[in-house]
Amino acid sequence: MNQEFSSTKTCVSSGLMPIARNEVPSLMPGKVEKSYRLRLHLLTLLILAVVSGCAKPSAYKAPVGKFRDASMVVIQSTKVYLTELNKVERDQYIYSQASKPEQIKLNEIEQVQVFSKEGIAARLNALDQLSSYVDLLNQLANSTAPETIKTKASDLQTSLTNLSGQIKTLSGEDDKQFKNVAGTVLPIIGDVLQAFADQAIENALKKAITVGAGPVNQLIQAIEQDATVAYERKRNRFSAMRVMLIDQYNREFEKGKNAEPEKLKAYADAISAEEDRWEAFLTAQPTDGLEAMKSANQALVQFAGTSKPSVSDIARFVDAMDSFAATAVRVGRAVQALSGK
Amino acid sequence: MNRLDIIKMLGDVITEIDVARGSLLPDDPNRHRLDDLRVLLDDRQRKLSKATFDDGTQQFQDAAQKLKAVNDQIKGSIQQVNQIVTVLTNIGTFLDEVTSLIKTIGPFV
Repeated sequence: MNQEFSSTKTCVSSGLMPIARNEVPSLMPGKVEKSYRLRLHLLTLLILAVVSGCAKPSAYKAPVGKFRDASMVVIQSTKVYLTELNKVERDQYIYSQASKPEQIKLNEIEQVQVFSKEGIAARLNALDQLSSYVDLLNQLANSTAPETIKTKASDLQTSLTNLSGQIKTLSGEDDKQFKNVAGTVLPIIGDVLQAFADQAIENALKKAITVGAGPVNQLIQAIEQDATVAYERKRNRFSAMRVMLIDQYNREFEKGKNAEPEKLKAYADAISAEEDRWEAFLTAQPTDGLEAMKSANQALVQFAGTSKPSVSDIARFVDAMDSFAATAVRVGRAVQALSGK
Repeated sequence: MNRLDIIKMLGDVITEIDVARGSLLPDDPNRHRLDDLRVLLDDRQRKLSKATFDDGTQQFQDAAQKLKAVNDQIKGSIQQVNQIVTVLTNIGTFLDEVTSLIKTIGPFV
């Protein structure tokens, strides 16, 4: 098998790398229309790779790059939700008190927040490490400098050890589940990284995909649960905000002849903007991106486990990565548009 | 059903209540009653969001099924403010079931 992997190196360097780079812009807003054409190019090159006797690592190259890029978008979007979770709770309380109106108390602001600052920091750190891990997979698929990869794998191993230590200190009731999952999967991912130092790059990549995929998906699942909670609480707040703006308009409207037309217009504009935001928000579910990431990760595993991939295996693999990339673009755009609002 | 399903279900009902609230004038007495019910459901959702518990117990599953049955009955009807008495009764029933479900979880509330 090693010989088979080694024999692909000329294919790797001769054909797929430029396509992998060209795929990156398809994740950016406004470039989605190129994806079909790029997909066809990619598929053609992959088919040529198989027909000409090239084995799997070269076939990983562009799709793993796409997986990396889409993962970055999804991870970044998820970080936005988790970062804003406490802001959502604070704002919900503050504006709800203001609309009644009732006294605002600092101790009540502290009470309403869902995760501790340490809990959020640990989750963001886990997402950063996940991001580094996916980036490392991409470098493995493209690398011409194994020593650099080994150094990076070792650095990431150290970061994961630090993350494990950070997670162990979490004591909140809301941290239990995340703590349990992270405590189980981080050591396994650490072992996978150790293989990078001990084995040939091609074998390490395959091992990373097959052995690391399960724990990575478990970690994604744990974060997905927290992200779902964050999304639902944000939905709650946005929904309340819609009513507050309607009330603002109606209070002015109720003044009858004394209602100021400028205020009515300004309040109507605020309602209109809020309704646009609400519509966008409903398409920005972080779980869509994370679910797509898990499926794409699973497709990587399946492909890695196919000893002699057929044209249809490759097409399925490319489709899975394209599907993930499309979901990532949608969620990423929506979250970007809503960030900080 | 699991904890996240319940959190989402509560979110669906809350957003429906908001549509009803936003369809009444701010000083309408029925609007105030809806506001109060929303505050209570929001509080339940926030508590469920913070809590970690075993949602696989038979007790929890039974309570979740009862809640789902009520939810299925009232789904889509909360926005009908021209039948506000029924709307308030339905939300009250839903709230009671949510409270019963939370009691099965334990002392975190």
